[in-house]
Formats: sequence, C-alpha cells, structure tokens
Amino acid sequence: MHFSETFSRMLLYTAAIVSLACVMAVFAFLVYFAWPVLAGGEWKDLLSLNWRPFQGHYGILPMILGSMYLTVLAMLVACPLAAGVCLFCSGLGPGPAAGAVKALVRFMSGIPTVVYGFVAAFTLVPFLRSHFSGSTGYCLLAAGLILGFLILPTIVLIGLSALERVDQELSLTCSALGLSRVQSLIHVIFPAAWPGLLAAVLLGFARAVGDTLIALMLAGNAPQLPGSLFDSIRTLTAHIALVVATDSQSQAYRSVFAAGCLLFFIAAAVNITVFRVQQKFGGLSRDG
Amino acid sequence: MTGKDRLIYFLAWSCALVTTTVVCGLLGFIAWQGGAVLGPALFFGDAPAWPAISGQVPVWDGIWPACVGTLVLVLLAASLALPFGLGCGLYLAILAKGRKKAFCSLCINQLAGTPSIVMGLFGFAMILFLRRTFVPGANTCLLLAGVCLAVLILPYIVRATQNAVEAIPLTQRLIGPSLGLTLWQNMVYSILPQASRGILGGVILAVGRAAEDTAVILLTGVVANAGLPRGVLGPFEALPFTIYYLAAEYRSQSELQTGFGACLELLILTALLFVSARWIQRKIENTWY
Amino acid sequence: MVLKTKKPFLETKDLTVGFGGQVVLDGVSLAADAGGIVCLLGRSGSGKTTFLRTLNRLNDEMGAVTKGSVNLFMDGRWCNILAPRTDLLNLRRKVGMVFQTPNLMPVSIAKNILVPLRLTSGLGKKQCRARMHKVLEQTQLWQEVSHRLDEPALSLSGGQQQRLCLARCLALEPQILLLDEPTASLDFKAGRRIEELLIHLAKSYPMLVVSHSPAQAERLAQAAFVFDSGKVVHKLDKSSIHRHLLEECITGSAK
Repeated sequence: MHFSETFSRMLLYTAAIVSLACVMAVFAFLVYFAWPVLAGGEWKDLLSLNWRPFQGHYGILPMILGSMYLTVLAMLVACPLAAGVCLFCSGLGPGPAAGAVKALVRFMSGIPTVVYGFVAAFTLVPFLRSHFSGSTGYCLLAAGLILGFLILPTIVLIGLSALERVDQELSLTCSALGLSRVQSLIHVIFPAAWPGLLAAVLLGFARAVGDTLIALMLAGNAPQLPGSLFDSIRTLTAHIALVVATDSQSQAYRSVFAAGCLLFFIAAAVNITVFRVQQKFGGLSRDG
Repeated sequence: MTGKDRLIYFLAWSCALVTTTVVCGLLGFIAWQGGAVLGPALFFGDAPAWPAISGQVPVWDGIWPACVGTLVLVLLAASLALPFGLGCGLYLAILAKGRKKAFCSLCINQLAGTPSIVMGLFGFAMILFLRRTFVPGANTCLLLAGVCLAVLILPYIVRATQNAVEAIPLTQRLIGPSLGLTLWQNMVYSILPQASRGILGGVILAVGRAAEDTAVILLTGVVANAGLPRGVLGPFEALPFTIYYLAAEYRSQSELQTGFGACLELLILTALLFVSARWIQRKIENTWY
Repeated sequence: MVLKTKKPFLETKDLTVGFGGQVVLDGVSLAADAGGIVCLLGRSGSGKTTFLRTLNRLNDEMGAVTKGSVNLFMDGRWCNILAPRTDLLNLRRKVGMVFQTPNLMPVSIAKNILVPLRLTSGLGKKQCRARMHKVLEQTQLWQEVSHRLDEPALSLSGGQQQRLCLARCLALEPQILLLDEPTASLDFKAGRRIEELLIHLAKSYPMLVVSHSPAQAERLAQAAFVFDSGKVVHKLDKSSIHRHLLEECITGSAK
C-alpha cells in the first residue's frame, strides 16, 4: 500500500518535472544558440539599422522597432474598443444584446489567426492600396488594425471576468448611493477592478508582441524604419519566420536566436508582472 | 441622464457595433467566398473521392492532404501533451503547496505566454543541435512539429485540469481521503470522474489551438505539397500553412478560391471544437448547482 | 458489538492546529468516553470542525500543522495518531466521517457504497453486496432503496443522502464514528430520524458529533464539550446538559 502511494506521487511529480523541463529547455536552447552573439561583442552589431545579410550586416533594430510600433498601434486600436465593449457588456447594453456580444467575443477568440490574415489580405490591403497612393497596401496600418481585433477578445474576456467579480460586491452599494449605472461603472467599478484590468491589458500586449502571422501576411516585411503608417515594416516574429525559411548562413541564424531570446524575455517580464499584481492585489481568472 | 452619461452610452454602443460588424463581416465574407467552392473538388481536385481518401491516388489541387496532415499533427500533439498535462495539473491541484506551487504555476504561465514562433524556433534549435551532435542527418519533420505543438498546448491542459479539480467543492474532494482511499484510487475513482467535464473542455480547446497554429509548423517542417503524410519523420502539409501559402503565392483565381475554401474549412473545424467545449462546460454548471 | 459504558476512547493533550500561520485550535486537552454520543458545540469558527478533522488527520489534506498528542483506542490498544509513521489510510478506514452536507459521488446508489468498499477492503463481489445490504439495513434505507439501487444517488432526498453517506462509512467497518453537524442541511423530520439512528448506533460505536444546536445536544449527548476561539471552555456530563445552560455556555455568559 505504501508502494502505491509513493508510485502515484512519483507519477505526478514526474509529470510536473517534465512540464517544467519544457520551459527550461526552451530557454536553454535559445540561450545556447544566441550565446555567441550575446556574450561576444557581436550584439552591438545586431543593434544596427542595417539588415543586409548577404553583405554581412545583421542589424535587427528595424525589426525591434517594427514590433514596437505594431504593438503600440494594435493596443491603440484594441484598448478603447475593449473598454467600450466591456462597458456595453457590464450593463450599458440591454441584457440579451450584452450576452450576444459576449458570446461573439468568445467565439472571436477561436477564429484562427491565419484566417484573419487571409481575409484582410484580400479586402483591407487592396482597399488601402487603391485609396492611398504610394503604398502597396501591405503596411503598418493594415497589420495594426487587424492585430488590434485579434487581441481584442483577450483583453475583453479577462477584463470582463475581473469586472464581474468586483461588480458582484459593489453594484448594490452603488445603486443604494443613487449613482447611475454609467457613474458607478466609471467611477467605482472600473477603478476597483484595476489589477484585473491591468492584467488583461498586459496579456493583450504580450499576445500582440508574440503574434507572427498578421505581421507576416500584412505588414510588408521590409526591414526598415517606417516613415508613415503606410510604410512596410518587419517585426521580430516575422523576421524569425522569414530567416529560418530562407535558410541563409549561420550568422543570420544567430541574429534570429537573439530575437527569440528577446521575445522570450518580454513574455517573461509580462508574466512576472501579472503574477506580482495578482499576488499583491487579488486574484483573477486567467481563462476569461 | 447627463450629457456625459449619454456620450459614454454612445461610445459603448458604437464599440460593440463596430466589433460585431467586423466579426460578422469577416465570417460572412468567408462563408460567401468559401461556400462557393465547397465540394469534392475543393478537397480532392481532379482526383476521384474514395481512392484519394485512402491514398491510392495523389491529390494535387485539393486540400485533402492538408486536412489529413492537420489531423495527424493534432492527434500526435494531443497524445503527447495529455498525460503530462493531466499529471502536472493534478500535481498543482492536489499535491503542490506554497512556494513550490507558485513556482510551478509561474513556469506553466511562462510556457503559455511564450510566442508560438519562439516555440517553433525551439524546435528548429533542437534540429540544429541534433545535426551537430548525434544525428547529422536530422531534419524537420512531422514528429518535431508534433512535439513542439505538444509543448505549445501543454499549459492549456495543465490549467484546465487544475481549474477543474480546484472547482470541485471541498467536501466532494475530501470523499476519497475521508474513506481511506489511496492517492491513486482517489484520483482515478473520485477526482478525475468529477473533474472530467472541465478537463475535456480544456482538452478540446487545446486541440483547437493546435489545429490553427501556423508559426510553429512554419519552422518545423510544413511544406506546400507533400501529399498524405507518409511517416512521422517526413514532411507534411497542414491547413493553416496552405492558407498562408495560398495568400502569398496564389497563381490563379481558382487557387485563391481554394484558399477561401480552406479558410472556411478551418473555421468550421475550430468553431465546432469551440462550441462543443462550451457546451460541455455548460453541462458542468448544470450538474453542480 | 456492545461496549461497556464509561470506557475512554479518545484522549488529547495540548493539541494545537494551525493553517498557514493562523492558529485554529489552541492547546486542547480532553478525554471522551464511549457508550454514548459525545457532542461538540460552539459558535462557528470556534474550531470544532477542525478538532473533528484532526481525529482522522483530514486536516493534513489542507496543509495544516498539528502539534500535541492525540490518542485513539482502536484494535484493542491506544494509538498515537499523530506519530509520523501512522498508516493514514488504515486510520481513515477505522475512523469514519460524515460531513455536514452529504457528499455523494454522482453515480448510482449501489456504486457509492460498493466502489469504496471494493477499493479499500479487497472483498469479492458477493461479499461486498452482502455488506452493502447489511449497512443499508443498519441505516434504515433498505426498504426505501432496495428496488432502485442502480438509480443516481443524487435523486434521493437530503435525509436519505445523509443516511447513505453514513452507510458508506459503516460499510468499511469503522471503530469510531465522527459526524460533523449531520443534520444541519436537513429539514426537521429528516433530522430527527437521523438523530434516532445515531442514538441507536452509539450503542455499538464510540461517536463524536459536532452539533449546531444546544437543543440537539440535549437530546443526544452523554457528554458535551463547548469550544470557543480554539479552546475548550466547558466540559459537561449528562446530568448537567440542559439546553439553556448550553446556550449560555456558547454565548459566553455562563460561569
């Protein structure tokens, strides 16, 4: 009987250890391959604006900036929309409509990224191309708009679950004080739910930074600094995909692993921040 | 209602309307374009249906090989991830306490937050490593993609298991221990049956995630034309990549239409998985309360 | 099995239980005798449920830290159940527990008894069935459920479910019974039925019942302990158990 106890415990421990080993392995492989670049002096070269692999320039700064611009644009699109949808679903919209919108947003989270990209490539891109001369249509704006819609469900669903939890406790108090629904939402409930809302925004941010397909299919992939919203850009994620696909020399690979490390660390920073916020200020559900 | 209130109402309604319009427009567009090509020709091209399904006749213009590729990939990933995901989730819910639990949770969340392209890069790194050390002829393949997808979806299964078990009310969770059942008996006869619906819902969502992922397979061996998968160590096709490839490299209107058909197909697949997961989770809420 | 009266079956000394730094039981020392129901009373949060769960070490499942000594008389000798090498599984089979709300599995009535019995005792199918019959008779359920043993257990009424939980315990042939507010979730009639059953069973099993009601303790108890903030503040024997005295003890206005 004791053997069975130990055996079952060992089984569970093993599963946990293997799962942890996966995270460690991802980290280890990335660092192993990026190490020559990071430890040696080469990383300074990576931070140049020159990406011309056949001339020996492996600067990934345009890609870092590209990721930044795209993510910021996507957040500018998604956050206000998410706020509006959250308000709508928290009582500013009639019950059945709010329920329907919530269900729709849930369904949205299941739509494959590549489908978003495909449809946008044949609707939004030609539209931009024909209405704004000088642009091929594959640009920062196109990718930013679609990416904003892609991350919208993440922000809305996590935000709504945080709001609902606070709402349960406080809505009666607010009504008793004679506040209108709008006033209680804006002045009491949203502020009270700030840890959960912050987590929602951070997780949306992480999703935007980590997305590959939208940038790959819609942003144009030119390794340059954008002069306007209608210029083509390349993100870190798309860069990794393109370089590995074209199978160039090993120097280019190293730049790609450095990019991968950077992305991993950004994800880690968001993860730890959300964890700390959760620890200090109260729990939230991460399933939305 | 004050003017400010009215403005906020207007903003909320417009946001909801914009979102709804965009999503419905997207879905409608795919249904319209893709629906026009739904039929055996979409899947099998010029080849006759039944011989193509069994693999006797190669399919050149259809998306059938991609469908099969996606299916095999998803099954491989799910079967690899499920035992470890279940075990780790049970560990977090039953055995782990305090700092160990927080650390393990943090790591699992890190896995969940890692971008999928980085996961693909991890797979690629493994191949590079193998080439330099034990297996010089190593190449990206179905097995590698399956393993990387398994690592990608592992946190979904862990979280679903953990949440499902922790949602069981305390007195129900104590049935096993209070009767003197061993840990194994408790898990198999008491906890898992009670958590099964929540776990199943989570597994279905994980499967959906594996089916739609493109970034991982881009770096681990997916190709545009490989026919039906002939073994785990060979190249393979998959629906999401077919869609991406057609968007970038279509050469005729009919190929473009095929792309829309593939979009519709993938959308229907993920929609079915998604709806069944929600339906199963609804059923839990009705049983417990 | 009829026990002689006035034989102690439980002894605790300086029992202290804490959860995550918060002390729930603080130096509890008491001794309880078999031969009648021993009631534990007190306000909610006073530690009575935690005390009960110490006796089958169920608190360990929730990460509690337990100090002191707890001795139970089982198998003809005294056992220190807090000893590090205690066989927990054996302990929990010998010390049966019934919870406040019936906690049945969402399977059939028969399976709720047969599955734990088969898993813990290793008896054959026929013997399991025979024992199931016996305990359903003991809990006065046989007449009501014998013809529908394969129907879901959750279709039974609250009182029937609680009796089924009791039957499930009894099937494992325990030596001590612990009941945590067994009638709290039941209506008046069902509660009284359970109380009569408990009085009957107390002749054969040493029994501790956490009670939410001084009136119930007056009906059932041979001895009573009143808890307050993790300590035992009153020990009463049969002669001094009156409802009003108990109420005063609980609210703290007595002595």
